[in-house]
Amino acid sequence: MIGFREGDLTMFKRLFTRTRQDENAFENVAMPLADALYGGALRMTRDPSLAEDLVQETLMRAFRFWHRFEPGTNAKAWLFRIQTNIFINKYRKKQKEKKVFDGRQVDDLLPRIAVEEATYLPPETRNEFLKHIIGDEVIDALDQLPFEFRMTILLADMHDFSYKEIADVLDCPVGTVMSRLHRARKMLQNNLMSYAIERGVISPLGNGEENVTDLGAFRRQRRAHNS
Amino acid sequence: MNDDRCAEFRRFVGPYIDGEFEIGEAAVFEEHLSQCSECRAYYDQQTWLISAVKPILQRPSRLPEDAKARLENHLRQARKPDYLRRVSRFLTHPIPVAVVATGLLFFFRPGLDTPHSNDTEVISQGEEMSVKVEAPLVRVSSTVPGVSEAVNQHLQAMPIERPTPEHADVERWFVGKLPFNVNALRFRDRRVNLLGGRISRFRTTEMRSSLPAARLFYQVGGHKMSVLVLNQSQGDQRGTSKRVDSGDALEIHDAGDYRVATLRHNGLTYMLTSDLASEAMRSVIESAR
Repeated sequence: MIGFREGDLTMFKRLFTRTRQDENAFENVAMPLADALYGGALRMTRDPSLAEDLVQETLMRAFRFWHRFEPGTNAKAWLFRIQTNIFINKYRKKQKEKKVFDGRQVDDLLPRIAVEEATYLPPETRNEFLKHIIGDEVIDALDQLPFEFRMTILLADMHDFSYKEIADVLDCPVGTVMSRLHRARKMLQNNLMSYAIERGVISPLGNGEENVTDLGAFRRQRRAHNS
Repeated sequence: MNDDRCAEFRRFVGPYIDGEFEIGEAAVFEEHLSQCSECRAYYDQQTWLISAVKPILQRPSRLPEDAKARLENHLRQARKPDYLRRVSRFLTHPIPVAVVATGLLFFFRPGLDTPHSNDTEVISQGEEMSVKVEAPLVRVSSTVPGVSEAVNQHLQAMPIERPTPEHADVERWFVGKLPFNVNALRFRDRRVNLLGGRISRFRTTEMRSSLPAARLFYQVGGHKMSVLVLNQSQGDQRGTSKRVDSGDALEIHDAGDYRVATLRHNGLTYMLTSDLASEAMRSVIESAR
């Protein structure tokens, strides 16, 4: 009489889970993310040919260490982590950026004044603002941010990562992600506002209640008005 | 109105908008939001700005096709099963290659004796082909000096040091690295795409020392084409040149499966090598600007 032993069952299971394994194959999981990685690499390196090299290195390394990827976890975050590490260790040293400060230091050293309050944009000028700030301006404004801040915007707003995932990619606490993102968005917004001011969409400083551009000034004005 | 509350609200408005708070935590914020009109205006602007900027940041980028092709090629190499890698290691070993090549030469000699008589426009100088084996590459030696060197370099899969489809970019990259300015050949033929360039050296048996050269990589349809750029006046070696074009000198040589075209322009020599048929090679070269 032929009976099944447990070993046979595992063998059958393996045979039938083959399709699931294929779903987790490198070319089905990692390769479709090449374009997204390139989009990120463009903003990391700010140079198209360096970005191509970076994506290539990232995917080759990911391929080598594919056995370490846990199926079912976020492959995009895993790949971005690899890409960020390669960038920091290799390209960034070459790019001769300003001296790099790590962790808390960088957050403390940045001019606080620049991020105190984002300029207030009255709702009626918003459409006008959008008409002038189309695409290149936003990318330019982002490219001007220091690396750590650029990265948080890139991961949060470009690729919709959660704070926890960003913390994993950047290897820092969630609290740091939160404060960096907060300041990065303000810096980005201030950059955008200065484009808008240059183009005369909004006026630089509050003269009269309608043209108030700074929330602090707005608040002071309100207080004076009420008393 | 409570300034501490407002300050706290503003500090955490980002995570609130990003949906990072749990329902209980969010409720505290919503309560403040319902009471403070300034924070409502602030929140309103933040939500609006983030939602206005996001779609611009999220515009899709595409990894260029040639970069994708290079990547897939690298992956194919990395994926090769171990036994195939062992076979290719075996093939680059000088002794088995010599044995195999000698065997092939013995059996297929009559084929090599036939000149390419139908290629009238091609100056066939490769009739006396001999396959000389030198590790690690199977070297093709032709009677015309330089032709075999061009083919050998074409066969070497050297990494592209400056991978770019931009002619000006690769030309700029060569500045200061070579004792002459490289003109990355541009072609009207739209199938020809530049892949990039690297620094190379060029030497034939007649030359006492090697010359610095630029190697440009092109893709022509599904074929690869290498272009070596060098200044031959520095280490002159005369070939049997025959003028085909009225302006620049052009020669096309047949070297086994490969065609090598030599083009002289502005004091520089351009050696174009590919496995394109001679007609196709001609039409590509004629479309050079």
